Amino acid sequence: MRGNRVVGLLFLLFCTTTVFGQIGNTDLGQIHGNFQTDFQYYREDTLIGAPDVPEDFLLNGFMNLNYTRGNFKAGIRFESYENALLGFDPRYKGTGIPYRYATYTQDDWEITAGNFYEQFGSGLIFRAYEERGLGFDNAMDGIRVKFQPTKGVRLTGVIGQQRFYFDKGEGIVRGIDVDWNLNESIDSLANNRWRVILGGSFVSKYQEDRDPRYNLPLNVGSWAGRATISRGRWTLFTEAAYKINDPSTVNNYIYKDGHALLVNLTYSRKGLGLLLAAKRIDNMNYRSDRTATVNDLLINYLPAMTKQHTYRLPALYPYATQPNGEMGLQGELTYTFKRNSPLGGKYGTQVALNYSVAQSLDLNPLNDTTGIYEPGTDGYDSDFFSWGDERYFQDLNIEITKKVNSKWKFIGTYIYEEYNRAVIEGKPGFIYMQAAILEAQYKISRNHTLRFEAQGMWTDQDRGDWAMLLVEYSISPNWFFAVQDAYNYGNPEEIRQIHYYIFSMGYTRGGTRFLANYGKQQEGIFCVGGVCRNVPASNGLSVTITSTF
Amino acid sequence: MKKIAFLFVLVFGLTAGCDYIDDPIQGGDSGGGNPTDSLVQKVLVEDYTGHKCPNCPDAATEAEDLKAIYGDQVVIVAVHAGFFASPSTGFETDFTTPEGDAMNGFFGFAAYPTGMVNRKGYPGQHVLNFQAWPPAVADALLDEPRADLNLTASLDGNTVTADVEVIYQTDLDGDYAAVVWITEDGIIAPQVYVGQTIPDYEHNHVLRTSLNSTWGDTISSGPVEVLTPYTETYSTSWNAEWNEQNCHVVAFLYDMATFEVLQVEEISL
Repeated sequence: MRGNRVVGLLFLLFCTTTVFGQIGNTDLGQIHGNFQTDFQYYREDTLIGAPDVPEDFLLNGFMNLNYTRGNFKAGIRFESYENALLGFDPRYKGTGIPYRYATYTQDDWEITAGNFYEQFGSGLIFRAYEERGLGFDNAMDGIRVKFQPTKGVRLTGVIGQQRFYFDKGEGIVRGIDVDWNLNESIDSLANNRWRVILGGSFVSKYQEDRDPRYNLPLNVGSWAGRATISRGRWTLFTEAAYKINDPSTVNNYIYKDGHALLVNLTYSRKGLGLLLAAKRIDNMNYRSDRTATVNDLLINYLPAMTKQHTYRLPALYPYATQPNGEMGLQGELTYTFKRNSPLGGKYGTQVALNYSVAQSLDLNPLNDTTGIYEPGTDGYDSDFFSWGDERYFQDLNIEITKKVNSKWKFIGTYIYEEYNRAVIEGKPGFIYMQAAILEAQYKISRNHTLRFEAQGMWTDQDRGDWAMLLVEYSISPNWFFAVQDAYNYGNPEEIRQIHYYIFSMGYTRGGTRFLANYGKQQEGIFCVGGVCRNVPASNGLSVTITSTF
Repeated sequence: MKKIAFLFVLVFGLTAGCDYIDDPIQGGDSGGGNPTDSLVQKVLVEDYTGHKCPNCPDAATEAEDLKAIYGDQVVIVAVHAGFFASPSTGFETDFTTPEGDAMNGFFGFAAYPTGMVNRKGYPGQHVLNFQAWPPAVADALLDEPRADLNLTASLDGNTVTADVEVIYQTDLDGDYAAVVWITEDGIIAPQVYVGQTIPDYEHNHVLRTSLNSTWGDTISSGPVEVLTPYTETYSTSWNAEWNEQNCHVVAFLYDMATFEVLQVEEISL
């Protein structure tokens, strides 16, 4: 019944779009939006662990509709999970409109009622956002007010509850943020070579305490300060955050306060880019429900400080920030050897060198009788500058991009990774992995391109060695066809030395894109905060249609 | 303009707060239960688990902690189902059951350990992380008992038989069913535990079988006769691999429309 009403509403909206626009001199406003549907047909495959899906077909779909007229904007998002694709949380189930909002802007004010996304600074204490591909959405449902009291100063206030699948979390989140651009605000600094933006935030959450064991804080406050300072080619960004006692599932109900510090220093000029980054996260898991885990009801965002590899094989071992605590460093150097130089050749050569490491905090017991992370205590002591002994992750990679002539372009990548599986996935073991990838593009003619990928990944742990080949043929701007095979030839169990092949094709026209894949996808484990979710292997046909209008 | 800015900060600033806790542990006696009084609300904690699930021992500990607080008012059943429960090399013991698999699929478990407390919240809010069990159990124990459930059981040769008696304590109108399970404690078998494998882990409260299928049998349909006994007898074959000394019989009454458990009882076999 609910679904019928929703379909009816959408039909009505579509019909009325023809009315909107300009009739005579009357502006009736405009409707824009986008649509996506992911559909998959599943086949059971016991060898790779692809389960039997009783429905045979699963589907995720959504449509955003936004109406704008003058200072007024409103919109809805219709979502459908009939039922959700494998790998998505099954609590996404059914059809409905979980996102709707209205915004009015006048002079220095902007007021939003309903759902909204927002971020304070880098998100260390507040970030409402969505990652649709991961099934993550912590949209706020409440009120947001933005106000610019004077030039260069922006205030943002938010109050609301967070999205929890087709419901809302029980906690209430409140926050305020100020952003102060000194050069805009102070006339005498307008043309100064130093550019300074300062910011500060305060966020608090409220949740009832019905726990029989502990006295829990009903209101948990956090605050953060940040600065962006730049001069010429150099930019320094730093943000520090603090959170009061926030015992929760993820931190094993310890009452320690939380800290976070991020520092990013960048330098860039033509042909050269440099990034140096450091972070320290200490007990900064922050959710509007203290019992929530995995990706549920996160208030803050702790940025990753490692390179996210997109090639299929190295992407099997991704790193995620450990919210309970870690120290991290990252350095990246990008250099382009100039054209017509010995290493640059005719078209120049780009080299990107990246290194990152994440390590445990140095934890010490509070006293002789209290264990580290003992519930109902302050948990541990930790020296701010001291690194722990346990390595969580290390990654050294180099990528060289070279265009040889007008037809051929190559990208060579080498990756060395150390991956603490026990910390990241909760499964026993530590994985040392090397990978090498050669990607080549051959331009047959103006609209016809061939792309090849050869990937090798070698490890003595987990599922052992892999090799992968991909060939992709694209006819711009409409078509592409690809075939790939990831072969787990080094699996210690001979029966699991499987070819994971995928055939793909895509068609794009205007704002609409159609993509189809047929083949086998390997399984993976996804763990956060003491709960693990198996993203199962799958075998079958998947179709994605996206459209913007 | 400054006044407006001040007001803005005041409104959003004052709505936020901070509570510092000096004494984290609750002092009062919060439970203990009264095992001799059958007219108390009891709570069924279903722990969906698996021997290859790294965090599942923590859930088992959480459940035992609740039992330590509330005594016999909390009944724990460990349902081994899903990906982490499948037998494989090094984990040959098969703890799964057809009933567990069916419930795992029906209730939509995808992450482990998770579970249900009196199956409240179905659909949508019934799957709880194990860390959410304590407040959920505390809430469920506040419910006024709507039914008294009396249970006796015996093992005779190769057959186990259970007699269930339900005495409704309030007016109800709907379909209510009883399910009877056998559970077993003290099974020693390997278990993964955060970064390691414990070869001699003790598995307790393991669901072994149901005496009357996954969803049980209807006890009453339509308006009930308050304080009148509704009785049924169920039986099934005994499996010689189960240790009788370590087995329990668990029976619960649930609303067939909402799946909410009204009352649960556990006895030693």
